[in-house]
Amino acid sequence: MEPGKTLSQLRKGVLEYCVLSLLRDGPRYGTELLGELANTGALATSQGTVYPLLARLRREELVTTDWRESSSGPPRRYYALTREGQAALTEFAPVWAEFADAVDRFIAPDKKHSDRRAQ
Amino acid sequence: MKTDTHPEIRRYLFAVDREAAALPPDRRAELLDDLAEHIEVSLAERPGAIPEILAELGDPRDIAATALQEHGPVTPDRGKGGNPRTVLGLLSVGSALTLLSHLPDQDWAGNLGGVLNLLGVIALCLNAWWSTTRKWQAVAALILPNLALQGLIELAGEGAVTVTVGAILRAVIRVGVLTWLWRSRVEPRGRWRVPIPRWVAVLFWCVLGACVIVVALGVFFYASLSSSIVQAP
Repeated sequence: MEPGKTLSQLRKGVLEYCVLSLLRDGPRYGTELLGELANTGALATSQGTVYPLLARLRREELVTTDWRESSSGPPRRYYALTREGQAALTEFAPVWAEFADAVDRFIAPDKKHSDRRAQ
Repeated sequence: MKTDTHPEIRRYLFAVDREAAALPPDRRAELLDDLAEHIEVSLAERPGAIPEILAELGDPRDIAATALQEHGPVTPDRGKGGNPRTVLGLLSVGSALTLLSHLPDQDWAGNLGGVLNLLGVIALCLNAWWSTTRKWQAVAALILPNLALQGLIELAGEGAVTVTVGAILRAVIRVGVLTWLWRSRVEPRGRWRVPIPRWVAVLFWCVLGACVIVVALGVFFYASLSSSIVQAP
């Protein structure tokens, strides 16, 4: 498997939680969210592919949206976490920690896990 | 919207639309709205950077593929906007019965056919698969040739030959109209609302309200009348 494909497979499962995490500190609008994702490097993806995900989060009511006027340019649609979105994020945190732990143990068997944590 | 006017943006959105053709229409419209909005906002922040903005959005095929994955195996909701088969079924059976009623002693077929045709036309009016213009054309095509034929037959005198030729012509025209109607159906995009004008809705509720009041008054008077009869010595 080529590295790009591996990365995109990995991204698929966690991207929505990264999006939800970005909303934890308050509402953000679409391009702002995508900009933040792009800045992280590994999560950078062609931006258009995030919109189907955002649409699903809206449908599943993990986020709500509202339009706000902007001082420059057109009104922006702001995404905000709902209570369900907050709950999903809270649930995911320990799942991810355990998952990352387990994968780490396989990928780096020669290193003690506690060492990696300490780094 | 401003993003619609630039040919490069239009081409891009069109490409996404084409690649996402397998998505249900409302989901596709939603995706295109999101992308158009993104382009518009980005363009306000970085005027003139259309090529960069579109490059960042990525390959329309990738976006469409992601959207299809997100959508999952859920089949598109066929019920939305009505079923064109219902319309065609009602009109076909109605037409067949109407034609049958021209045979002697088959009045029941005419009555039943008339009811089915009426239901078919109502179903057609409420259906999202045809534009309003098409619906008018269809209703006109269902009624006018019949009237014209009726007039011609009466002019020519109701002989056995004219009646037979008239019946055949009627059948041919009806089959033609229904075939045309079936072929001109277009799957509706987006959410469909029954196009009932406000005044019709107001009238409907007024009439319904009046009926309820009349029935209530009738029951009341009937009750008081019968009780006064009972009390009478």
